[in-house]
Amino acid sequence: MAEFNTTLKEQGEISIIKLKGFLDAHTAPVLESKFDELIKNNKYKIVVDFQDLAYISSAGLGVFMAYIEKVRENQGDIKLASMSDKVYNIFDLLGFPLLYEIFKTEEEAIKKFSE
Amino acid sequence: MYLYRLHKNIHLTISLLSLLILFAVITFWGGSNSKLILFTQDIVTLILLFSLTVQIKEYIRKNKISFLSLTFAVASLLGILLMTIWFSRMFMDQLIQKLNSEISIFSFTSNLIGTVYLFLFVFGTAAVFVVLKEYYFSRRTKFNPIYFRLLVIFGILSAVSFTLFKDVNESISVGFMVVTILLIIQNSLGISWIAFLTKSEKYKLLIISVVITILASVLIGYTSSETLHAKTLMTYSIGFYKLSVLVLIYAIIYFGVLLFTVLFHLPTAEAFDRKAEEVSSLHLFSSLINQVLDFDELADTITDLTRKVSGADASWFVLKNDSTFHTISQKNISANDTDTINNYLLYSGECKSLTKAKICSLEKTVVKTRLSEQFSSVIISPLRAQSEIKGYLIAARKSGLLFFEDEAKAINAFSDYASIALENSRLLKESIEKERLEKELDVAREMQKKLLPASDPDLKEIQICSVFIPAFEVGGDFYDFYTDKKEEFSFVIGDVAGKGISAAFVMAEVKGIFESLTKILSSPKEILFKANQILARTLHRKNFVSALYGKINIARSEFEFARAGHCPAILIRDGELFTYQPKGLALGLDYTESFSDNLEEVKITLEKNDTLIFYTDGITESKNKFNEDFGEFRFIDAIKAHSHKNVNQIAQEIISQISLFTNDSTQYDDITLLILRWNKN
Repeated sequence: MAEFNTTLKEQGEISIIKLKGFLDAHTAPVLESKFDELIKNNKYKIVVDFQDLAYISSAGLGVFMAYIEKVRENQGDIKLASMSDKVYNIFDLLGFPLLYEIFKTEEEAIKKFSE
Repeated sequence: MYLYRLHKNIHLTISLLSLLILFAVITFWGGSNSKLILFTQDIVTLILLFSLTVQIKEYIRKNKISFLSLTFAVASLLGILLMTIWFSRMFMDQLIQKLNSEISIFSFTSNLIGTVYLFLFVFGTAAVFVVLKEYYFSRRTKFNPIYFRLLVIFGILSAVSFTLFKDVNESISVGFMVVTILLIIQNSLGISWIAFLTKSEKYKLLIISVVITILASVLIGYTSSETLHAKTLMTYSIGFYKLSVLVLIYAIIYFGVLLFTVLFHLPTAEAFDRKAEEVSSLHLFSSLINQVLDFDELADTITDLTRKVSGADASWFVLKNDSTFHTISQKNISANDTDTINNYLLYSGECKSLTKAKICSLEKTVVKTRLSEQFSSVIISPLRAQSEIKGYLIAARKSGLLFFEDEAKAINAFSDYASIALENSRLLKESIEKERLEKELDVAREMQKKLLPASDPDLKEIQICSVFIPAFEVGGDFYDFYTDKKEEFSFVIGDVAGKGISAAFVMAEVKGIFESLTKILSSPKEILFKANQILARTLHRKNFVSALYGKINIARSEFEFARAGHCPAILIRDGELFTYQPKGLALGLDYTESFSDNLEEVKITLEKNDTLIFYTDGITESKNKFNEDFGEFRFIDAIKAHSHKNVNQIAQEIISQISLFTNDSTQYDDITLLILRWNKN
């Protein structure tokens, strides 16, 4: 299937992961290793930017579930931002908006952390 | 018995007989000047010599004795002969007189001792001669036996002629001897076999040659006709005496030449050794290409051979993984040092776009100061597959010496072999892994097939049609029907996050949970809530499950359902389409009360010909070759266009619309479609 990659950006104590391409069962490990890396470095304030994400499958959603508990235990959070309508619908269908804070833009998500 | 053995070994018999004859001749005619008797002595001794030669030769051939051991044997024999001479001088002084006097007890004893003495020398001469002959015929580029045969003929001639022409003219036999010596010189040139010895063997040979030359020279010194030794031998056979001198001369000349040849070969011995090693390594390696089953073993051998082929002190190789290099295997060097040198070579741009092996000096670089051992020079050679660099072979040398160009070339040639072997190993591993995955998927598909209902229930009030199209990798879709309760029809449709065997296992678990819950509880909301609670104990967070549970009360024409993160339900009534997406979290996302708080139940009173459609995201997310989704709109359009048809036809039309859209693009997810039509008034 199509490619997937991530870029990591640090802004203060907040880590911003930008997703690009197709996130499915095959590419999920790429994102998992990114989260592993952040948690290893005790970085628990994470914003995920979906701006360039074309597609997410249920396995892709599973990645966020796998880490949220650990992150919240350490007074952090995973906040989601800049989703396309299509991606948002998939999150919405499964009820993710109940579990995660989803923002229109990356800036709003970052601002939420500093409050 | 003994006779039989004698018969079998004809040469041994001849040797013994000749000795007896000699003994007899000396006993009866000792000291005689008769030409006939002297000639007989010569001939008998020559026969003895010949028979011993043959036996020694057979022994050498049979036991495949190496040249170096033969040389050593010659040295020892000559040593023994010399000792014999020294030893016998002490008591043999009177021997000769007694030998040549009339028959008596004393002369008999003397004769016995003399015969043994002679035998020792005949044996020694024969042995030395055989070894020299072996040398002559080994590793010849041209088979040219004529010179050696001539040498033998002239040797015998000069031996025999002394007795025959004793009174006529001594110069004839001297002439023969001169010719023989010339032939000896001719035959001693062109020693090619030493080139194939290793360096240490050459050193040993050098020492032994010196010893042999000295021993033979000393022995020659004892053969001047005045000495006791010469007299003793001459008593038995003048011819043999001359022959023994000739063989000693041959030994001196041959080993003298050998000595110098080895001396000249020594400086190149090491280079020759290494070349030989290279050749054998390459041979070993080409056979290794096929032994790629065990990657670690292959890596180990590659490293080892790299070191050998270049005469390096240490070697290792790195493989590229994304953009970083990892040391796979190393020999005689610490991990810390390989990392330091790797960093210097690979990341500093020192070896960018390398096409062949390159020699780099570490002298006067900062790297050297950071190493725990004093590596001063490295060769780095790229490992390539399909013109792409996959890694590097690296060899390092201590001792301040740089590598030479030919060593780089050797590694260069070698890395081609290594690349092929590594690539083969990788491909093999990949295909084994692929096969394993395919087997695993076979199991998963088989499991999924068995978990799903074998057929649709046949009910009077409800027409039911289900379509399930599995994706190659098993997408985790499931559905089930429950018709055990009277006046009630229930079903579940769901999708497990993830793929393959792990999804299949979760599916099996979820199926079991719903099957038992449906017997105890009746409200869809309650069933989903309870299922979520049970799954909390076992489900991994990332394997959540979306599900929609529905129940039709046939008597009351009532449809009730709840949705746990699953795709919406669709109702078609009088050609109009309604989508229901009540609130609800997928199973396994949240185990707190908020799951229940956010789960809505929908109740619809059914009318005749109402059509209910349930599906999984495999339908809406079916993709064409441009990676576009089939999407909800196309799905709804397809439903609307055919909603007046029966359930089977609707299903068929929807599926054919999807396949028209995807047009043979890979199906990444399972497709499940459930269509119900209410037939009751």
